Amino acid sequence: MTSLFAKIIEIPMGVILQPILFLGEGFLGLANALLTWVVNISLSGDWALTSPAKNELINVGWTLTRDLANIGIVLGLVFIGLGTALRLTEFKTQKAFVWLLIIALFINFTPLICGLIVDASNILMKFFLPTGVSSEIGETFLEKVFRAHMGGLLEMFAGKVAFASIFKFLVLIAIGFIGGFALILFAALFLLRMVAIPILVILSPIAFFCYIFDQTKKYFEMWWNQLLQWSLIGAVGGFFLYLTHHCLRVIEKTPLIWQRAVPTGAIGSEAAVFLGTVSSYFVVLAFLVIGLLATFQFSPMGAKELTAWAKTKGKSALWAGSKGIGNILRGATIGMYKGTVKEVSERKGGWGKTLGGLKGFGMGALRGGWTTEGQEEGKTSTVEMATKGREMLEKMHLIPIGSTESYQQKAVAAEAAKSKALSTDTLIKGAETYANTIKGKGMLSNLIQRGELPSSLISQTTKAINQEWLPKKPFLEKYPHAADQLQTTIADVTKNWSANQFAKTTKENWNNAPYVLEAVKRMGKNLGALVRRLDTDKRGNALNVYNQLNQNPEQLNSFLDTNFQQDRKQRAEFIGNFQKLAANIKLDLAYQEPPPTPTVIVETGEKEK
Amino acid sequence: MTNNFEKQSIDYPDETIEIASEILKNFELEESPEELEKKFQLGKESNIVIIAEILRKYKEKNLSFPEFTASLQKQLNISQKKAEELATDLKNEVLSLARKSEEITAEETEKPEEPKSQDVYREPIE
Repeated sequence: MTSLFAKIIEIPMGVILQPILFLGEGFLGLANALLTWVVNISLSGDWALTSPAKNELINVGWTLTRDLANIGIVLGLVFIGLGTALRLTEFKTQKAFVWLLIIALFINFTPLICGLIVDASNILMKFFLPTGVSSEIGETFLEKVFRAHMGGLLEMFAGKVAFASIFKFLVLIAIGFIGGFALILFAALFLLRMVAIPILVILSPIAFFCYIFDQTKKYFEMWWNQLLQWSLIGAVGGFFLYLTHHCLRVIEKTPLIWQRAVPTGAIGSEAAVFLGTVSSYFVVLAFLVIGLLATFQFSPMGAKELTAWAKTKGKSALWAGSKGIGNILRGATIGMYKGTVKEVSERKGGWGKTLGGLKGFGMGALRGGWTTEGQEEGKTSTVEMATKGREMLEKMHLIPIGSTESYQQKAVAAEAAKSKALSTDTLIKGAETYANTIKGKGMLSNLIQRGELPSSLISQTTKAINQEWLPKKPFLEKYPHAADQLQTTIADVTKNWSANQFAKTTKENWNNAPYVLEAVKRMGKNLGALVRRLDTDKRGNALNVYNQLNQNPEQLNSFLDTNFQQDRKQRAEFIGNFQKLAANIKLDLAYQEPPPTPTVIVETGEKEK
Repeated sequence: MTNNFEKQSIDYPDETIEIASEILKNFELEESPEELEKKFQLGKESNIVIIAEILRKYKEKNLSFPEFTASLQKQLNISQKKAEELATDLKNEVLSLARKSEEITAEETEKPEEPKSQDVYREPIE
């Protein structure tokens, strides 16, 4: 039975996960090839970074800028001459003259100066990344992690334990994409360096010329910083790749240290063996990612944009991708579970039960995996699971008490923001369709805020509040009549309310006898103020309550017994006030016929108002 | 602007019913606690609700003063003299408080004339 169940799970999971796994492996392989290619080109010297003699691009560009800078030197001399003659002290002409002579000399040697700095960095980079080091990182991952474990996974009908297979799939996919992404960013960084340094060399004569005058000195400093950072980033990146490579070697020498630490009880022996083998590579992966982030700390212009891209676009692309896959998986799993449970519970017979279970399983997986409602339910279940985990952590005092409630409510608030612009009708329909999801709860939140929650959704809302998805206070401020569904009373909710607060509640409250009675009790002599703040609908509802209670005093008697017991004076005072509520409303219903508007007969003979 | 087909609502100050209640008390028409509870258990309306209803009709249907008095006498089961005195008090102290919604709007929108400030650009004429 276990193997049958395992097979049943493995088939749809295999269909979904296998292509993703292949994609992950391909991505890692591609990233590795790209990094190897970029590092080889960088260190081979075939693409000279600073020498105009060896790189035609630099030769053309640098000659042009050098000539421009030389023209600038001549013009600078004229300018200094005029400045001295006209005594333009703000230009510090004497000091500028000295620098002009020095720079005029240096301009012709700028590739040499740049070469000193870049070569020093390249020497370090070559030391950290001797031939094969960069490629070994990716290849080890492909060989020891992917190819070593993928073989077993592809035999989907081997009757293995489903959990272990799914676990392996997910771990390998994560390693493939995270590792690939890190390697690609390293490659992009080195590739950018190969373009940025020649450009800086080409601009070097102009940058040196800018050093002469105080007004333009800042451009030289900017250029200088860029040159230093772009040169250095190669050495820093190489250093972290070097460390990652060494980390791999150390781990390969001592694999048992990692394998022994994995507990077998919780995840099963097969998954534990796999985790023991693969866990060490997580350390390498962490090294790679941290190294990448550290390298970005040295990020110059251009690399900064790459950093920003990695942080926003890259992150969101990865996140969106994984979220999409996650939603489908979550949806499918929840759908399978719910569908199976539903079918099994509805069918009583032996075979009928099994067939029903299978049908529910299949339909549930399809619905959960591929319909929006199913995916939303999956997403919600994930937050529910996270909530349960957080509750446990709260009990263990590992996270602040009460933080779980805000965690859930934040998730709903994010969904509410998405549906804020929708019309009330759409929100009501959406809240009904997505009743058990965060999306639906977000819609309920918007309806509460607008005061447009229909009575049909009140119990769904109080259920969500009781499960701490939605905050209690904003709901009770508008719908206090539903207080008893939230383990509180109307009296408690309205304890310190003013006439304004009573009047602000929605008209449904004024149809509710306990609420109207509580309002009368709280307002006492100020009933006139309350009634005058109510609109026509609310007054009408309150008067209906009065008429109903007058005809059938049972409910009012029970209210009197609960609130005033046998205190005759208080009972009478309350009844008096209740009568005054009706008197106030009736008085305010008065209206007068307006005087007839005179009609004017104009010359044409037509009547005009 | 009020539509020709709309009826003009009449607004009373918040304390109107309390004033009416006080008038009832002066005429010894306010029920004791026992009477009030008894009336309620029998599903009868108290005198204040009856008064509010008559006041509404008086304004709404533009009843004449004798009609208003007769209404009070009949509904509250009191003598004609008492009814006349009660009607006079209600007319002077309660009905006089009523304002049509248009009047209120006009009052609210009318701004009090601001005192003219001294013209600083002119020298005082002596």
